[in-house]
Amino acid sequence: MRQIFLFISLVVLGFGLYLKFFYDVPDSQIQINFFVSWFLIIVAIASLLMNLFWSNPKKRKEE
Amino acid sequence: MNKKVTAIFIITLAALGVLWAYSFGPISGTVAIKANPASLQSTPQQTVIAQQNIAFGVYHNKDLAENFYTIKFPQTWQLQPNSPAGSYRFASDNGSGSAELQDVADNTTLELFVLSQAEPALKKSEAGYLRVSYQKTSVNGNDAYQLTYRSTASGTDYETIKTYITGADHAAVITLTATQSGFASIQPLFASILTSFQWENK
Repeated sequence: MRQIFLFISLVVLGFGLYLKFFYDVPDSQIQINFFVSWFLIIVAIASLLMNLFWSNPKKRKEE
Repeated sequence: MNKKVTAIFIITLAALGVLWAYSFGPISGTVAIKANPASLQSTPQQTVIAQQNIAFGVYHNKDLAENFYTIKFPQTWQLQPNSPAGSYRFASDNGSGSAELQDVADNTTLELFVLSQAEPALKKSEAGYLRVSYQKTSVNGNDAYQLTYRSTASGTDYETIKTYITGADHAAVITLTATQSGFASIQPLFASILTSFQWENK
């Protein structure tokens, strides 16, 4: 389950970076591109960090 | 729940709030492209056209990172204030001219854009639009598409040369207009303005 969550976070991060740096944005959509790309990057990084810091139930049991 | 995870969640919510405010909320407006003040500075240059010594102002546009360009316009022409980023608009007694940057989507070509979007838009916006010619040309080694047309405004007939020049991200559009009666005499000046165009970061 955790691996799936990690994979989805990385996909979202990749898509956000693609929109930010590689997508050819029409002049009329610069603002929405700015918002969506940063939204995806922030959410993906937060998901990765949460995934990293989430306490493992197996480890808790061992403790 | 893990304290670190809770902290990350709260920080993320705060960051998203700031992002929204920066994009659409009370502190927005900073995302739009702004004109670089350096783009409005010109350096003088004398050029002989049809045995006449004409003073030009050479402009270096540095508004859009991938599309810096150079162009010259006669010093007697008045630069119109508040032109959008990447563009110049000039007016004079016997003609007018503009240089601007045009966003062309990656999924089309400049020629297709000119024929399928730009010209139909001109037909709607210009009264009495009549195409005189359309040709593929070259401006300082850049592929370009040139549309010449006639139109009418306030009872006066005008002739316009609109040249679309391919560029790295945006295309450049140079529009030169004169009255039909004075068009032939001003054409050498128009040719000089057009050939002065150069991409700076090619």
